[in-house]
Amino acid sequence: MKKTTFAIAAVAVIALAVGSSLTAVKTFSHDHPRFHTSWKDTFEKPGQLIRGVEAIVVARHVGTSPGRVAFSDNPEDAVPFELNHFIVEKGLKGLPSGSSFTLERVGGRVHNEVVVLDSDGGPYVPGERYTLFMNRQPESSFFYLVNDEGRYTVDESDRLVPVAQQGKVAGALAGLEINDLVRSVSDELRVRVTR
Amino acid sequence: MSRKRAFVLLLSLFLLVFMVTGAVASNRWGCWKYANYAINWYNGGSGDYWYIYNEEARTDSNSWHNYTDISLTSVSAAGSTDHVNAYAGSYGSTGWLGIAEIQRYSGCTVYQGRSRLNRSYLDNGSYTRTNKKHVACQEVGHLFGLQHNRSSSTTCMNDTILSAPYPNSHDQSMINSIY
Repeated sequence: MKKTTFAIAAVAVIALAVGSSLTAVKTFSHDHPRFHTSWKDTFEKPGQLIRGVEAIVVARHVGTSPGRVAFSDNPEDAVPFELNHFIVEKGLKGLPSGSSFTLERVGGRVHNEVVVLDSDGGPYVPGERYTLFMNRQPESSFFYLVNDEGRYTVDESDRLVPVAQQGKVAGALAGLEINDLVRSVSDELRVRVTR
Repeated sequence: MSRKRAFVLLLSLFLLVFMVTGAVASNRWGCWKYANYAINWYNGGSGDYWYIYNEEARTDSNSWHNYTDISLTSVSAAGSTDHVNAYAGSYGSTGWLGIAEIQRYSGCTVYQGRSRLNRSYLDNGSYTRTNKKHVACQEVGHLFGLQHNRSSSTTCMNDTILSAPYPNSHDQSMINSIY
């Protein structure tokens, strides 16, 4: 190997090493999320997620309103909730296209404290389209997100963009086109889904 | 290629592999950490949840206090200076068993963290005491600066299982390197 070839190769390898390291540090040192959630249901494969939830929709967020406040056993601590309202653009499971629904999540103001949950992708943006995997609350008509791997924004080319930082399901669904998701849901549930 | 050049090239490749895999193996949560290892511990749980929190945080041999360099001092009231405040409640069908929140901070330094356990699920008969301890251990571990770790089945930081109610040696190393 010539000296110049060796020098270029060595510099390239070192640059790659430093670059990879910086990327990794950047990935793990984002200091914005302030919540971590232990979800009740986690899934290993998209098929399990599809079968394991009550509703799968592509929906547009239309607004948010304040919800209930839940208190801890020790009443000095309280959790505010917000209600997120959606219109279903494409109902894949559990909700028909054109219907509306409300998703409850932690958020809002209580005891002069503003709570902004960020471990589920953060507050929903009005007008934005989302693909959501949800369950219905037995105690109300509201839905809740099954976990952070159950929430995706939909980009301009109709592809899913996960909000989850990690997870096999989010990794498998990332970049999937809506029509392909419709097909997957249909195959998984063995029912015809209107495309 | 001379031996010296080959050595330098191999060293660079080793560095590359080490940096990438080292970062991936880390289950550090962002850059969050308390100012130092001495942290005030307020247990706002009630009934058995008070004991569960205390066992996981302070009293069991593999608790964060006894197994790592973290030193927790029990205090009688919730606080906002170097405090972990732990609660449990019936928060409803939220999708989560527990939640950890960095409440007050400056830069990467945490002043006040809060843990909550959701009894709406944990008390529905589907969860053993070990399961509850696993969640309590995990939420408290988050506040000390660790995130989920799905690559090991022996740590409470694994959020896909509920059967390992203690930090493992990897968590211990992580915590001790942070503090």
